[in-house]
Amino acid sequence: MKFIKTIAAVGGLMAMTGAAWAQEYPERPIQMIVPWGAGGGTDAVGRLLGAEIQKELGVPVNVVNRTGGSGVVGHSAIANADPDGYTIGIMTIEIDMMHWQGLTDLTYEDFDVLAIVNSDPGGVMVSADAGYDSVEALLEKIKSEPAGTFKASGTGQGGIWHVGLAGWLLSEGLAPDHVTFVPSQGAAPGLTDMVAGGVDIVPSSLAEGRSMIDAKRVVPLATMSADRQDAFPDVPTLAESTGSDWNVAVWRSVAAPAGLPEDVKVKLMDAIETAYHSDAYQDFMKDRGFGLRWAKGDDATSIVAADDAVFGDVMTKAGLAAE
Amino acid sequence: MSIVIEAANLVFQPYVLLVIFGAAAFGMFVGAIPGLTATMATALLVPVTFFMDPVPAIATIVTATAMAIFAGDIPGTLLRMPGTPASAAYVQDAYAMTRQGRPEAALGASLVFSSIGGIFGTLVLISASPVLAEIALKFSSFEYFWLVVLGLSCAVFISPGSPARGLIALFIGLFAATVGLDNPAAVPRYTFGSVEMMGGVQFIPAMIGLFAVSEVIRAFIKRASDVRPPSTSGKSIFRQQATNLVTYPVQALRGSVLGTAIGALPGAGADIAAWISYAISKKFSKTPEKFGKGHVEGLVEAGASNNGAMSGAWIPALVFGIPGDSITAIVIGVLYIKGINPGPMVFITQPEMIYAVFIVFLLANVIMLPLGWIAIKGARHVLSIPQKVLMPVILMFCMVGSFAINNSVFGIGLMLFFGVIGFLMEENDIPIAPAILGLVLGPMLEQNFVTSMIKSDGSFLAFFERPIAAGLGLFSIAIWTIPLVLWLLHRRSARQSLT
Amino acid sequence: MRVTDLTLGLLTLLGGIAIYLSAINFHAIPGQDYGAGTMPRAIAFVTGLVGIFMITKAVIAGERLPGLQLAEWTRSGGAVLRMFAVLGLIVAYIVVSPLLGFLPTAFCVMLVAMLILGVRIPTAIIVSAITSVVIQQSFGKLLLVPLPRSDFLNFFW
Repeated sequence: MKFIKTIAAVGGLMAMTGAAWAQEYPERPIQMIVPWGAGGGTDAVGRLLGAEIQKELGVPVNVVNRTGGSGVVGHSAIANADPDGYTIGIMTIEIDMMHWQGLTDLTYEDFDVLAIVNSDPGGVMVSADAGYDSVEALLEKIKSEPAGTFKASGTGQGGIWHVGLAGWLLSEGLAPDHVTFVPSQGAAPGLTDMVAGGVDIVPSSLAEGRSMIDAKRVVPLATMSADRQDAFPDVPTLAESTGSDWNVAVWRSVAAPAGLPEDVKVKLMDAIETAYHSDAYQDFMKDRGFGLRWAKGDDATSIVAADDAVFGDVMTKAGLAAE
Repeated sequence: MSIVIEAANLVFQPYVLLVIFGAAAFGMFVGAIPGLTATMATALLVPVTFFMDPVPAIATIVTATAMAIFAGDIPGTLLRMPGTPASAAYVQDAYAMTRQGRPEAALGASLVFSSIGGIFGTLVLISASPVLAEIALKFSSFEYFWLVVLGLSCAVFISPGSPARGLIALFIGLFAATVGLDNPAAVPRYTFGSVEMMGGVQFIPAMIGLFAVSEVIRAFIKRASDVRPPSTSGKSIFRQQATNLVTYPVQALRGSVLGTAIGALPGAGADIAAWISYAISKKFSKTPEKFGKGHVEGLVEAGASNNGAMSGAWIPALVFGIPGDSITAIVIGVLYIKGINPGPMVFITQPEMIYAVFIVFLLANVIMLPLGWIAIKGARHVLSIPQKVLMPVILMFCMVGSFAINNSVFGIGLMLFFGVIGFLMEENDIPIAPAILGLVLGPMLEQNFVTSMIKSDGSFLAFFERPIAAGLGLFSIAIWTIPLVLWLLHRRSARQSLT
Repeated sequence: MRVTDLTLGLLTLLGGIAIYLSAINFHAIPGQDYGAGTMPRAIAFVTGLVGIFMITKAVIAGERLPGLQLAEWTRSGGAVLRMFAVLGLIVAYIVVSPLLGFLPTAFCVMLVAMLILGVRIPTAIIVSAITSVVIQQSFGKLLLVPLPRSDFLNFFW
């Protein structure tokens, strides 16, 4: 008897799911691919946005980490998925750099950029022991010493802060490799190495150095943005101090494989917009010290495209682009 | 003192205790499933903790990870599927003990000494965090390079049989670690144009392949039914450990101290700690020949070291906000969200919070004992399943676990490849453990060597210019040269006595 | 399949040479002496040394020709077949699971594996079915591992 009941229940369920097929998007769980490891900043952004989008769309949004290859693996997985709206992903700034390095053919054009949800400008940080009190003093010293005397770290070879450093040096009229770049596995190891006396400068985002700044081990000298950052009101911009017009910022975006149906795209963008403006997301970003930035659809795509062109230029000059 | 009471008030709330208990059970469950990791358990818990107060939120993650790390030893011991590279250091001994019908003795040792190591590490964390963190901050790539060299030297000491075969295994691991894009030059190596290969060889699928799949292949060859499932003794789990503690007090202490010290270095962590401790244990043992054949001594020391390192990793994490591994990285993120900014200031501005976190650490390591006991009692029954039914199920878990690590069938392919390699290695008496060591430490060796050379503008001398680096460097060189010199002297005197 | 010490030494030496040759094209980091090729070259060098050491030792011990000893089990055709069967099952899972979905593939793989090992058919069917569903529910549903779905078994998800 119980068995028959179970069969009936299962049959009923099947009929229900059958009926669901006729429904409009979304009718089954959405997979959100994060190209970086569980526990990192991008993962946290993805998981929190995913939870909010889930509330909005009413189907589970499952975060799936596809790591490795400095983001190539995960970005490829997003781009190669079916453009049906059931696979979306967090696209990071690396998409604008890895094709210049010759690591992949993928560019932002292989994606439908849905929205940019965060942005953190680069900075100039030095160890507290080094005794610099302004970025002008540091720059003067860099200029007066022979090339290669100063070492910087904070990301992998050809990574965003490597490009950021090269761009800054170029804007100051120096050779892009006047400061030698030492590749590291991210900003945190770069910062510890700087405090241990291994390198002199870490040009990563100030948010990444916040705990060391609070601990008075690291001194932030400048931010590579047009305006001062809310979280660091005392840190001048490059333009204010050295007069350089160089700006660089990492951003995180939500993207889908190119060719999404228009109605699905609109629905997703609306859901992401609501998620972005949710208290949970806004509070989380402020608490973590991440910068908030919103741009959707074509606006977001044009930001991504502009960075792509700038990075291509700097990377070619710095010898980081593949021939 | 009032701060401690205030902190205790934050922790000993029915809700917090309930959360700790729930998290412990969850961690135990995730850790005991072959192929799932403590990091995965933590990542899954993060969204849940968004809706909690700071103390229960931290308690959830800390308890779950401590439990998952221990529980990872259960499939390692029973089925030869180590959950972490750290537990791979002693899986050979633990599994051999299972084959001898003493799985409870092995699991009991790993449970009790994990707990001891964890408690020791926490006590150090409470009493000496700021001082230790200062020392840890002096480690740059030069010091880490020597530390990795020391870790790799263990390959030779832990290998049963000929050192040459141990070295072959080590170099298989080191070579596998060069695959992919994640190297200092960011140049794709041995990827053959495949995007998946750019990600390199992840060590969980490789480890499952080398240890577990090779075992499954063997079972199929022998047609598992011929193999009698080992019976279990049913002796008390804890009583045997009291004996172990009396027999190996030095080992337990040495493991705890070394584990905590190495764990406190943000770039090292539990993996190196467990391997070095296992090697030290063998080196100084009265019965080194028993290692690898089901001897509990190495388990005691490496088990204590493993969890000591877990606690030690919190030292730089809490004092400077520097994560030592992916788990501390996740927790630092949660701390920030909860308005506790790790750093020296937190010890002054929110001491009750920090002490509450300490109390949670201690609780987690204590609650581990009864829960671990239940888990061992339950998991043991796996062994009463006939091998011919068990082996296909293990095979399935191997595949799902290898898939889950990066959500891709590429992981299963890796697992298959390393399963065959592992099978061939064991057929030829090449030990497996050093290959795991090479795979884990290879990237660190390369990263620290290449970046050090860039920093020093190509001068080898820089590896000896900083005091700690010079000390570690001389010690590493001594480890290799002194036995050689002694051996030569010995030969010479032997020859002289002949003439 | 066990090779003699001389063979193992030769294989190791060959491996070292192969790694060295493969690393020739890995260029250094621009402006530096070290880079992608450093590590493979170091590995190649030491691997080669270990190989030469093993060859010397084997030759001193009196080995003259590289050889291969076949283990006891290779003489039993059934054992060899079973070994290839288990490797084949893993390959089958890799190929089939993305198409058919996790549940049917896992069920079939375990069922075949148990039958090969001589489990009785009813037991094999029941255990395989239960294990597939338990894994799917715990990994797929509770732990959110994106196991491949089967559209016709949608109600399990």
